[in-house]
Amino acid sequence: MKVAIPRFAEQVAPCFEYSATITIFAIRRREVVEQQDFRLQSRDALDRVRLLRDQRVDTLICGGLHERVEQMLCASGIRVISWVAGGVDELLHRYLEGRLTAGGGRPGQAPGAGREGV
Amino acid sequence: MKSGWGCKGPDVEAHDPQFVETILNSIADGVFTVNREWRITSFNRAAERITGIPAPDAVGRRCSDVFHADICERGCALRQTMESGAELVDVPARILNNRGQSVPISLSTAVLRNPEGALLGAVETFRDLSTVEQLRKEIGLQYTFEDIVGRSRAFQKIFALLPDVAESDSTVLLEGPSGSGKELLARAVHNLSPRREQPYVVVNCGALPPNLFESELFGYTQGAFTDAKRDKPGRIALAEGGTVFLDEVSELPQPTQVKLLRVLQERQYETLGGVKTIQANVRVVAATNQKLVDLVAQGRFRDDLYFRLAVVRLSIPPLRERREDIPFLVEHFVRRFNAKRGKSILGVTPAAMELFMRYGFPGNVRELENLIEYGFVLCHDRFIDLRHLPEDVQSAVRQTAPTPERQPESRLDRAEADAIRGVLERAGGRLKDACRELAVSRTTLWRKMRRHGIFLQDFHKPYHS
Repeated sequence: MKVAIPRFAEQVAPCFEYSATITIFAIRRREVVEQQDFRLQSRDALDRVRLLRDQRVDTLICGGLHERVEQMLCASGIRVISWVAGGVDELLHRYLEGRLTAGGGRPGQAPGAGREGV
Repeated sequence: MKSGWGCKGPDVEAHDPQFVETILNSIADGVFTVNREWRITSFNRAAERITGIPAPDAVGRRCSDVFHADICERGCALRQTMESGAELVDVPARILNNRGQSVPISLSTAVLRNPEGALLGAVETFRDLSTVEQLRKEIGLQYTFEDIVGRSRAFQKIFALLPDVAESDSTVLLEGPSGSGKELLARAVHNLSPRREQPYVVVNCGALPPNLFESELFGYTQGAFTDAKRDKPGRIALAEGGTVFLDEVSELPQPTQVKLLRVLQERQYETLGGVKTIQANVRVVAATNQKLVDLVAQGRFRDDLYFRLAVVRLSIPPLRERREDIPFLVEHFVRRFNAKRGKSILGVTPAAMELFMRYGFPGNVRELENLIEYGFVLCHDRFIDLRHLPEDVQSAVRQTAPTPERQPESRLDRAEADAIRGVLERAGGRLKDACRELAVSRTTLWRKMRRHGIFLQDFHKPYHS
């Protein structure tokens, strides 16, 4: 299974479309067995969708996300846990423990109010 | 909504918080302050409106977690200001509002210092440029995937294909009824493709007389016919390097179909009257409101051209078959007409939305757009209501309103209805006596009588009998 997290230093990037780095974690039996950083020059949202799809990413954990890009990712079969905030390691840890809820980092919304799904 | 201007962090000083709050909340531009840890310490009312985030939820958070801006990572204006002390003015940026919609803004920043000159944080003012951008889009037709509105299954399929379709150079065939948004999708395909900086040329095949079609599409050479005084480039030449959109492609005359096939197969053509073969570097996106397969079967459209056009086929169903998209389309058009007409309508009433959800929309999305525009003309309130919508649409919905279907009666139902009729007969239509005999309340008996279509007056005995 592969999980992608756009990052800004050690934090999840504020916005998926504008992030400069996406880290893709390969996970086996709830353990990270490999991780790879992808530096992104293009600011084309579709390039990011293609990257995740070409890398066969199963789940994207991200901060802000344009609603259409989220639709596109879901339509491509990628599970999206959006509008979260915090450190990348902590978010990944919570995800692996099944404790990560979409929308937790979305101001003005209750935790879980963010979209999540494929 | 309570403003969070009073929710100050310890670093922000104000001589009279109430006074400052009143002033800042009266400003049309968003204003917020951050402390040295980038945490928001105040957030005015316009900032709430532009971001969709209430001040109490924004205050205390890192500004990047509230604004999700394109400059957060690659050139934070507040950071530059705090580090250099210099004010920045009219910096263009994009933020995401709390609904995941991109909002273009122009921002300015300045540092905040206490009376001793120590750095407290910074202040940012930002202006919502959505209206300007919307109008620019209307003029320049610079639509992207952000402008494709749809959550239905049909659009999920389109969204799944769009990243590949945009990247490739393949010919695309868009199928869908009139007014379903084929041209918008065609523009989005062009604007997302590597050809986006090159021309996008529209040819409405249905609007051109057949005898002019060839010269319009391929151009002509001086002397090709009586009035050909000089060379004229065709639409394919005008679209060189870019995209040519052939709307209503089913209307293409047969001779032109052959020439277009050659363009698609060999990337070559000749102008009318010309002898020189010209190389064509265009991507073709075609649209049709008819089933091209049927026209092929009838011999009215070349099968080889059909297969060349339909390398990628995207189908947009009629609006009545994707009603779940209607609320999103309504919201989209309300936002668009607010920008165009300078109004501040918030949406439509539940009654108006119900009308839209039940209407057949023979004119598809274009008709919905026209209805919203009609509503904008008549509506001077905050929400478009039924009274702001055309009467013919309302009467069309009334005429097609489904009548409750009578369920076939079960044996139990029949037995119950017979029992009630018998008791009412014996009681001479006196409800009180019937209720006592059946051991049910008046309400229950009324409800059951209504369900079985039993009328009390049928059991009243004339007083003289």
